[in-house]
Amino acid sequence: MEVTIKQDGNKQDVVLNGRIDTTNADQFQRDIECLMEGDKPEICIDCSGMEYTSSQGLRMFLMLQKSVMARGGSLVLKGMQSQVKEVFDITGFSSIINIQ
Amino acid sequence: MKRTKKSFSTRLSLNILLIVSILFITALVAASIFSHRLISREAMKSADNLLHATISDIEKVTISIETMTRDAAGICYARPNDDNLIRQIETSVLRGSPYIKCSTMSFRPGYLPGKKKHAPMSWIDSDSGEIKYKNLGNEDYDYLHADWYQIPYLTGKPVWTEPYYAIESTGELVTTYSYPLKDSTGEVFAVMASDIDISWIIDTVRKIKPYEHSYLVLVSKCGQLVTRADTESGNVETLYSYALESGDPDVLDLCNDMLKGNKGTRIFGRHTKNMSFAVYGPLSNGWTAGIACNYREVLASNAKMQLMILLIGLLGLLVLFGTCYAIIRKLTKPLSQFSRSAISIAQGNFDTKLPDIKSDDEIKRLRDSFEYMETSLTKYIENLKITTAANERFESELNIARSIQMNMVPDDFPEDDDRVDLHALLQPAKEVGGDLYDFLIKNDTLYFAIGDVSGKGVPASLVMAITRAALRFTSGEGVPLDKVMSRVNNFVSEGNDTGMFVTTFIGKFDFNTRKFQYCNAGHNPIIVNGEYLQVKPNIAVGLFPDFVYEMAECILPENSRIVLYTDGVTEAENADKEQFGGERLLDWAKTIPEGMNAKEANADLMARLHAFTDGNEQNDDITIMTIKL
Repeated sequence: MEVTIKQDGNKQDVVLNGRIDTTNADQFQRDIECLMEGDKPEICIDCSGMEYTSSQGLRMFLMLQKSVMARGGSLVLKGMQSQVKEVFDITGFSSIINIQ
Repeated sequence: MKRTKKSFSTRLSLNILLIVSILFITALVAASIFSHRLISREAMKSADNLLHATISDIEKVTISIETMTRDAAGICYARPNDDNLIRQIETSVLRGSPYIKCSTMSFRPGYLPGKKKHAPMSWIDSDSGEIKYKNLGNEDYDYLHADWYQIPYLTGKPVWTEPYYAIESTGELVTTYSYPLKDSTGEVFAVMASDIDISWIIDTVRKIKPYEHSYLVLVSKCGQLVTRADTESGNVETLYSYALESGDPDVLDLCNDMLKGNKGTRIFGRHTKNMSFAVYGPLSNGWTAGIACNYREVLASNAKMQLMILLIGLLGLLVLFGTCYAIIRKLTKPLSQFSRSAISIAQGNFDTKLPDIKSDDEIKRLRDSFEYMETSLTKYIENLKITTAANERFESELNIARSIQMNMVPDDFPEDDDRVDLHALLQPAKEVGGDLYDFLIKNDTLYFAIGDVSGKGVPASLVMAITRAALRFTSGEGVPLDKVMSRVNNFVSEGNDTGMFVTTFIGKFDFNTRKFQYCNAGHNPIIVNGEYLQVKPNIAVGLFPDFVYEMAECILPENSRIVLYTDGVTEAENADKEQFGGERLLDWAKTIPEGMNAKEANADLMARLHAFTDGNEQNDDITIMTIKL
């Protein structure tokens, strides 16, 4: 799992590459911790390189979504691969997270 | 413990011995070469000194004889025809020198009037010691052709003759000094001769022995070996015959040089055990003297000394070895004790007594290290015991937790119910897991549920327990499924700060009307009769309280088959990170034989999963529920 974050004021561009699974879910949580701070964040995550996410990964996206909502900001997930999108759809995450 | 063949002490001692031996032998060889040269040089020098002392001893005698003879001859000039005077002079010559055995005045024939050959001779009789007298000029003896007369007569110069036997006088081996007397015209008219017994010379030089087998030779002008003369047989060897006999070119060179009257030093008999050197020098009478010494003899004392040094050295080496061995053994004794201690420690006796070391050196530091190791090991084992105990406790608690969790999911599957055949399998990835299922048959209605908590292990198991309790508490007869799901959602969401969520599917089937009602909360779509059931996903339980869930319903035909599962099935991975996937699952669901019951079907799917993952570690909890209605 590779996380690249570019910060520009309250705008944060994130690029995800690889898999989020049991072995690196904790690392992923630490990697995106910095996205949990700041007022009215505008976070855009490029998911085109993400191959798989486990339910722990989903939980992280959920925590991030909750955090962003609490701070009055926005979170957008972009370019998601179909098999990943399917997981988001099945669990109903598509309805609470903005996926483009 | 297996004993090594050679102990450390022995090996070290042998090594030291080897090095010292090499040094000793090198020193011995160097000293030997040096002393060899030194002794050879000294021997040559002392032989040379001895030679010259001998030469001067002999010369003292020969010169005195020459002087005496010359003086005697001078007196004869006055009255050569006075035989009495001549006899008196001859007698005084014999009395004057102990070396002169015979004295003769020989006249040229015809010089004295009326006397053809005239040679009055006086000699000392060897038996009686009296002086005898006779005229040598008789018919029997022709002195005119004797060397002692002829050579000075012809050359006009005094001469020392080659050794010969004086038959006419003493009969002994002699050499003669002849002095010519000349008249006013310079012509030799008489020869004054003094015979010297050679035996005294031989006796003199034979005593000259710097070494037991060394010898001094005296060579006459013509090469006769004076000192080698056999006084008994009368044979006189020549130097050349000796040189040729030896066959050594060095000896031939030596003889040549000696006969030339040179002075020098030469080595002969090279590469033989009789290798020798000779020093030689001329005498004033034209003879040459030389001393030959055998190197073996010269160096005998050196060899003896070397043997002594060698013996002392060997004894020293032996003592050195013994001392080294004893010292090293004493020094390394603690090592074998440490070895025993180490074995004892390895057997778990951390309070093993260590050897008592008084010295402050490496051995002492080794002892300190051992002591430190003992205390460290004691502490480490203590900690390990505590940790192991804690782990064991934790493990036993986990095992208890696992059995509690397994008891939470029902295993009393309906067996003899014509209406339903239901079976479920739950296999956590760790001791405890986050998957759950439940079912209940009440008043012609079957209630069932499946759920999957995000994550796995202990955290997931706690949420699983909450969810399972919530399902049981909130569902009651007559409560619609969407309401049940909402209540469960509110229950789980409450105080859920960690964002844990549960995907859940609940269903309800009326055996009489065959109406199937269901509500999905973000769970994987279930398979009904070989097709994925199209259903609104809503969202997983625990995310947002007060979420409004929607339910749906349909009528199921006879012999319907429902397969519920968690993502542990579809996301089971093989070593290539390839997932089992929804496609394979659906293919399997489509081909379940009609006669296969729910339990067999579950076992079949599990077997396929195992075949697919091929021993790859299970990374998520797996739950399968098959229902035949």
